[in-house]
Amino acid sequence: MTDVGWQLLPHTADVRLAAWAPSRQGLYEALASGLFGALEGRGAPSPTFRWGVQLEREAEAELLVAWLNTLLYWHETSGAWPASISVAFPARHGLLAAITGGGGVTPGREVKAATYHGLALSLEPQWRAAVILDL
Amino acid sequence: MTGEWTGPLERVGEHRWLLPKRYKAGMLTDGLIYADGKTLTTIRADQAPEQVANVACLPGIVGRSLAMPDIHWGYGFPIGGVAATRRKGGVISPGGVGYDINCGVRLLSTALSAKDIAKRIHDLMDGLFKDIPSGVGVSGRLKLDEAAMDQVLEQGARWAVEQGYGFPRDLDATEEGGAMKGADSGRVSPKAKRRGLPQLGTLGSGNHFVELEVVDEVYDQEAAEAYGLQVGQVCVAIHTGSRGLGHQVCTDYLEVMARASRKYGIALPDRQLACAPLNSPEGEEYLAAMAAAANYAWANRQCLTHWVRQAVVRVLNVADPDDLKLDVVYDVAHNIAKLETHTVDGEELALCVHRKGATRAFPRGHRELPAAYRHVGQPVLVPGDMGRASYVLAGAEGAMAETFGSACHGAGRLLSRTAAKKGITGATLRKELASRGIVVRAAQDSALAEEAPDAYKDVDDVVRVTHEAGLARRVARLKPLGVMKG
Repeated sequence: MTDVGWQLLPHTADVRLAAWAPSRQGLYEALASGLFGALEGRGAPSPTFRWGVQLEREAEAELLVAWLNTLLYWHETSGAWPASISVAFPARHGLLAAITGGGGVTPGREVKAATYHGLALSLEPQWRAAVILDL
Repeated sequence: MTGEWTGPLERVGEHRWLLPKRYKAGMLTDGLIYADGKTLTTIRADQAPEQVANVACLPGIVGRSLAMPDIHWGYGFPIGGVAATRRKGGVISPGGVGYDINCGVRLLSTALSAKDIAKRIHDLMDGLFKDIPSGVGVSGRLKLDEAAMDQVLEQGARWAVEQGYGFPRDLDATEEGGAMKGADSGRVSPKAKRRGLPQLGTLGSGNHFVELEVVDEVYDQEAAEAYGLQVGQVCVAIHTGSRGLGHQVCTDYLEVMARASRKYGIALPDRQLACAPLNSPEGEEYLAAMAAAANYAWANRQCLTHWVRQAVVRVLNVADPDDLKLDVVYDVAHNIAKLETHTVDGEELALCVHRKGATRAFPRGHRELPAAYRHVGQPVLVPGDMGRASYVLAGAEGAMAETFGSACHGAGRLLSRTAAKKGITGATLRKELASRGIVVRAAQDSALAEEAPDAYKDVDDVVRVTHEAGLARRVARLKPLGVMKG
C-alpha cells in the first residue's frame, strides 16, 4: 500500500470509498480522486478553467462530507472534470480548494451523494477516511 | 462494519423475526423483520438488521422499527425500512427518505397483446430509447426557467399535465394525485434547483428503467379487472425519481439536521439518521422541501409517460392514439415521509410514516384510494429484475394492522455492483437476455452488468413473504419483454 491512495470497496447497494495519506491535505485530495474514480470517467480533462471552493463546518467529519458533496455539485452542474485539485486549511474546520478542470470526460456512473453512514476518520498513524457513496 | 450480521433475531411468526429492544442501548422499541427461512439468510448477510436497530432509536417512534421482505443494507435506514413517528414529540429524518426523494414506479396498461408487438419490440425499444433522455449526465428536452421550476415543485404532475404532458385522468391514478400538499419551493435551495433544471424529464441511470412487460399470470381476478390487467397484455413500467434536485435537497437538509440534532440534544447511533422534531422549524422546513422534491419526481414520471405514449404511437403508426389505451394503472412513491393517521392499540394517532424503499399499501376501503380501486385496495408496484419478473400487488389489511400501510418496493439488492460486474459482462448479459426474448437498450454495458438479474434477490421470494404475511395480495405477475437502462 502506498503512502497516499484510495480504494473503492463493495457495499450491497452503494460503494465505500476509503482513502489515506500522511497529511490532512493529502487525504482530502485522495478522497477527491477516489470520488471521481467512482464516477468512472472516460477521456482526459482539459484544464480550461479554475474554480475555487471555500467551506467551513463545525466538525471534521462534516467538512469531509461537505467537500465531497460540493465536488459532486460542481461536476453535475458544470459537466466538468478535475485535472488538478489542491487543498489548504485556513481554519480548524475550514477548507480552501483550487480546482482546474474542464470538459472532455464522460462519466460512466452517477453518484448521488456522499453519506454520513459508517463514516470513519482517523488521524494516527496516518490520515484515513472511509465514506459510503450513494449510487 | 461489514460482513454477516450475527445479532439476535427471535422468530415470532411464520414470516416475522423480532429484533429485541434489549439488543442495543438507545433502542426505544423492537425491530420487526418480515422474512422466511430462505430470505433471512440473505438479510443476515450484511448490516441491514443493524440499521433496523438504529432506526428503533429515533425519538417518538411508534410501534416497531419495521423491515419489509426486500430489506437490504443502505445508509441510515435500511432499504426496505419503515418507521412511524408521532407528530407531537416525534422526529423527521431525511435518512428515512433517502437522496432520491420519491423514487417510485409508474405502470401503464395498454390495449396491446404480446402477440401484437412480437415483431416490433426492437422498433419499440429503439423508439423509447430515442424519445426518453437517459444515462449519466444527460439533460432533458424541457427548457425551464426558475418560475416554471417553482410551479413544478408546488404542483407536481399537475404542472406537467397542464403543459400538455398527459391527461387529468393520469393524476387520479397517482399517489397524492401527483402533488403533495405542503410543498414549498422556497424551502428548496438554489443549488438544488440548479441541479434539477436540466434534468426534468430524464430517466437517469443506475437502477432506473423503462420496461415493456407482459402480464404473465393473474392471481386475483377481481383486483386485476379493477386495475385493467389481463394475461397476455403489454404494460410499460417507469422507474425513476427526483434526480439531482432530490439528491441536493437531502444533502442540504442532512446538514441542517446535524445542527438540529445538536440543538435539540438528539443522540443517534448513525449520523445519517440526523433528525429534528416534526414541529420544529427545521422539521417543518425539511417536510416542505421534501414534498417539493416529491412533486418534481411526479412531474418527471408524468413527462416520461408522455414520451412513452408518443414513442409507442409513432412506432406502431396508430391513427387514433386512444386505441392504444395507454392508461396509468398507478404511480407509487417508495422513498418518502408522509403525514398520515393510523390506529395504534385502538387509538387514532397523527404520525409521520417514513418509507425508505417501501411502498404505501393501503387496503380496500381506505378513503385515500381512487374510487375505482377502493373495493380491491391500492396497487402496489413491485419491480423485480430485468430477467425474471415484476409484480402488481394490492394493499391488504395486514399492512394497516402492522406496518402503517406499507409493503415491499422491489426485489432488493443481493450483490454489490462490483460483485455483479465480476459475475457477468454487459455484452454477455445482453446476449443471455436476448436468447430469452428480452430486448435491451442501455447507454453503457458496464452499467448494465451492475443491474444483472443475479445482483437481485428473487422477487418471487420477496412477494411470497409479502403475500403470506398479509401485507399485500398478489394480483399479477409481469415478465419483461424489453428493458431500457440509462
